[in-house]
Amino acid sequence: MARRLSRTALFGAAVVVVYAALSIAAPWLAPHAPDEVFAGGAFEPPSGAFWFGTDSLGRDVLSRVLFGGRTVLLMAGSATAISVAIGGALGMLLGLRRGLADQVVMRLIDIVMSVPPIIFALLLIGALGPSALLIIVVVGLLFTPNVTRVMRAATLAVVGEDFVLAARARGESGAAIVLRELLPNVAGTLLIEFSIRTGFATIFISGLGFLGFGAPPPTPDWGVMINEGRSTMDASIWPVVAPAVCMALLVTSLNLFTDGVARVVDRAAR
Amino acid sequence: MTKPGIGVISRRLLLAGTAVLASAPRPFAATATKTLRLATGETDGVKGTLDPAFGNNDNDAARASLVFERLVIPDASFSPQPQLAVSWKPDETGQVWTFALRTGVAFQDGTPFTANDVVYTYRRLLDPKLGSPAAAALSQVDPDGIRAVDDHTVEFKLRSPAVEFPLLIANRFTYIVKAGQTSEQLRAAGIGTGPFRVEHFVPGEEPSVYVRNEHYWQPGRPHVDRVELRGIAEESSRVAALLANQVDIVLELPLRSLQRLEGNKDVTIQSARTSDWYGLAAFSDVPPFDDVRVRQALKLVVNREQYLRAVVGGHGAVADDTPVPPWQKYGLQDAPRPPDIAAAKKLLAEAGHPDGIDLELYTSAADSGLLEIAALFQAQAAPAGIRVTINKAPAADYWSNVWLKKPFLVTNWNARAADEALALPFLSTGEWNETHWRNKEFDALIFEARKTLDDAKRGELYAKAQRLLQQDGGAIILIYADTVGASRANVHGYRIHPQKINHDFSDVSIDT
Amino acid sequence: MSRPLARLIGTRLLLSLLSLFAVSVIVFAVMEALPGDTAQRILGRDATAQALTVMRAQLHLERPAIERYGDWLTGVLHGDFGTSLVARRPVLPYITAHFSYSLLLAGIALALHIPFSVGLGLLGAATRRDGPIDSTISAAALLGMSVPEFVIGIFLVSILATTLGWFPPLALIDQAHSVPAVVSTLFLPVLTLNFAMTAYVLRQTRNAMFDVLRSDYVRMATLRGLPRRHVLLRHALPNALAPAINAIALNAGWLVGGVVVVEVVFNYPGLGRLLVESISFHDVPMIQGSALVLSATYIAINLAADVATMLLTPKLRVR
Repeated sequence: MARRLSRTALFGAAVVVVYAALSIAAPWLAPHAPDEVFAGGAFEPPSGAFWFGTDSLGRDVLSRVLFGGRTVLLMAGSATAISVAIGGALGMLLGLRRGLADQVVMRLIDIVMSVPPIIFALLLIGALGPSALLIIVVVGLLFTPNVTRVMRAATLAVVGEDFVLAARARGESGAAIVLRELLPNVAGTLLIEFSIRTGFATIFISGLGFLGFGAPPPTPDWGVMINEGRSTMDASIWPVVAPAVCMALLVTSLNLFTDGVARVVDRAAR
Repeated sequence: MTKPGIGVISRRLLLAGTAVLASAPRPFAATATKTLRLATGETDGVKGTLDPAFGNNDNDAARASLVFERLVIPDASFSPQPQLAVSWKPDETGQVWTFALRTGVAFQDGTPFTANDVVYTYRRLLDPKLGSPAAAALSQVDPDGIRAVDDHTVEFKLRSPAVEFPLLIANRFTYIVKAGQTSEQLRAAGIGTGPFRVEHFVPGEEPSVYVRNEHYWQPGRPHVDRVELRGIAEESSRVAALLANQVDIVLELPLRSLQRLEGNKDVTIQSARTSDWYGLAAFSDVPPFDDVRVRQALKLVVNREQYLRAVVGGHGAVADDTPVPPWQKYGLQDAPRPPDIAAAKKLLAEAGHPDGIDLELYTSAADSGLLEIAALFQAQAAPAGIRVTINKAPAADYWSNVWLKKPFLVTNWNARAADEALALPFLSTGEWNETHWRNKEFDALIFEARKTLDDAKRGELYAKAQRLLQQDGGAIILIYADTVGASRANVHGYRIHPQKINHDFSDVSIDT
Repeated sequence: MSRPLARLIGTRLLLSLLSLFAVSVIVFAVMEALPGDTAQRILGRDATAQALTVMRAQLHLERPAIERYGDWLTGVLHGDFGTSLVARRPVLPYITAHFSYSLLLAGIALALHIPFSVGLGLLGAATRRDGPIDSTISAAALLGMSVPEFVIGIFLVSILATTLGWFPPLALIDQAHSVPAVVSTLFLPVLTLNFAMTAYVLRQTRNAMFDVLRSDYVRMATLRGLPRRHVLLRHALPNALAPAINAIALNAGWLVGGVVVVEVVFNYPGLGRLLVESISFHDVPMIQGSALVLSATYIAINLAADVATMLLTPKLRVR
């Protein structure tokens, strides 16, 4: 598939990979600890020692951004993984085994999806108190219904195909059908879902952080950093600009990649 | 007077809508009404109240200052000054106080202010069925001992002698309300003697609007016709609103944003040295803090200058573990002790922690500066082997579920005169004893000082009490923060008071 | 309207009501099961033991949860949304007032963005695919979708309001007494909302247009010699409208959530902000009322979107 991806899509994928690499290597790459106070003066402009300057407590913005990237990728990635794993499995199952269970579950999903997601998140996190784990679980669960729907639709599209009917006629077991006939054909959709949900999750989680419902310190979180920094933007814009640009770049790259994969899958289905 | 919320809002919306359609400006705004637009640093949403018995934030204090007045007010050096009372004197025991009330004062509805209103106000505050926090602050007053001697004289009988009683009743609860008003009325439509009366206040709706009190007793005041009060919690938004002329006075300015305003010709900045203090509170009855050496060690690791820089950008002063600053009456004049990591380590070892200790420190975004203090303390304590984990609690929860409940947290207190500043947080019987410190000697010193008529001797007693607090107490009082406010350059007559809740808007005027 | 369609709409309506009921139960259950003492939140720092006891008694919190929920539900069915625990006043006027403000903001944002984004989508499709104009529009759309709206909002305020002073930094709608003032006050929040929404609809419209342009149906029209503009407007656009409308509806739904963040950034007295505040006070009746109204709006919008899509897509109607 990589061969058939457009250049922009490959570029997007490359950026995401670089992000992941930087995040994993953050503890070794970052010049300072993210919560090391008064490494420099407060609100220093960018310099050789502090590439993005310092924040209100003299912490190195670059280090905080690097570690923040770790947090973001970890939280957004985990939440998406949960939603894709559960939603994917459920969607494929429902698509294969139609019938009463399918109807009931889809109705339930309609009901759950009638609550605006941000409200649900605010309620749960507001009442239980923010923690990284809770945020991951809540966001993961919030995205699951949507993924289920998409995967179910994709499964339905494949199930009607001749080769699946043939496999059934041959007497192949359900599991074998899933593995050999179904998965390869919905893999593209799955990948698209994973990629696009990660972007949405990043934005959603940083939005929660911005509203004050983000992961507690010392976890540096881009949304929280932006919220903390915006009161003092006249002293220095870097504590806000640096995480904002990084987030924009990450999500844009994810979207470029998603677009590319979508085009390929589209063409293949034609 | 006060209309139901939906009526006014829908009316405003309809007007905005019609304005959009008909392109006509609203008529009444075009007249030359002088409106003073105030902004505080907090939003209280639907929690807001005008009732002085339940006010507990900056917005409530501002509202009360506009509509009500007190018998006695504290001046900038915390000496009692007359407002609705013109003079006062104790009897020989210091247990019975008589106040002579000002004559010729009328409430906003025209009825005269008499001693009855004072009795009603205070009895209400002390009424256990009302459940006002004021009852604890006024615990020395005997509710049956308040009586109106005549129309303009009130007598207070106290449970024990209190030399500084007049200062004690100059707090945020004791605004005089017209007798007979119920809690419901006082919540949003109270009647007082202050310079402005309520035109529109619905909790949760902003701004609240007040208009000039035609019956106000100070001649020639107020100088504006109308006041609009709103809260803007976001620091940069508040500053931006001032610069964009969306508000006239900002009652609380974020100290870190001062750079943007200094040198701006359209804005006047005012600051007052205040004894608002920030620090850490530890339960003195819980290990490891129950060992005085551990408490002393904690006080030795802190570099107070750094907090001064980080929390208030240098606008304040370093504190030395006492809530009474050197410039206030009864403040100590000793130089603050510098940090000493080696001594701290030694003390910890003596207390049985040769490898240092692990502590959990609670903080939140409930007030500006609390998070920074926690982060700084964590960094400063590390070299002494004190390993701190920070627990960031949700802001809304902090004062209800963390403060007074968790053994080690970041705290702050508003400025108060010496007795209250020492008594409220540190007396063993205090409702707000955030360090669980029960020191009989300290208590005795305070109670004795309250009865001591000789000022010099009283000073000695308070000094002794403070030194005891520094040595033995569970609070690490780090810094005092200046109070800073700002107004547009064309606004005059507003003076910032070291105790944030004391406002006087009667003298404010606006040049056009 | 055809019988199957009517039946479909009927079923969906019933389902929507069921959803609303479920929402109210979920919200109530969540707030009940989780910690948070309203009396503490109201009294704050000054709370004394005595004060708390009195306040709790006044709030009637000791009655069992089922009873309280039952009372609330009966009230709602009669149009009474109960009394706010914190404000001690009826909940409904607060919700109506705040909801009106949110509608104003969202309505203007939506109204402006539909012609804008559909137009841009058409423009992009009208020119060569991946050509310079199309690429620029595409790239801008991508960026708009990738940056969270609060970031956009913060930077717009920073540049246009604080630095340049062209617009007020806070949406203090009560200070706006004339048309220009209202426009100026709402300009930045509306622009912020539009960035994200436009991007999304733009991409959907453009993609849909390209899809349709490639279809046999349109190729036939072009081969027949019809002018390109005619082909675009008369043949392509109507068929691309369905995904576009779907996207717009999704946006409208997104607005219900997205407006919360914008209201917080701009200090705007909308329903989203009321909800956030009520949560921090643990003011259960207010939370329930706000959540219910927001959910109902969300459901209604989704329903309208589905119906519109069904009406516009003849293939789906006939089943």
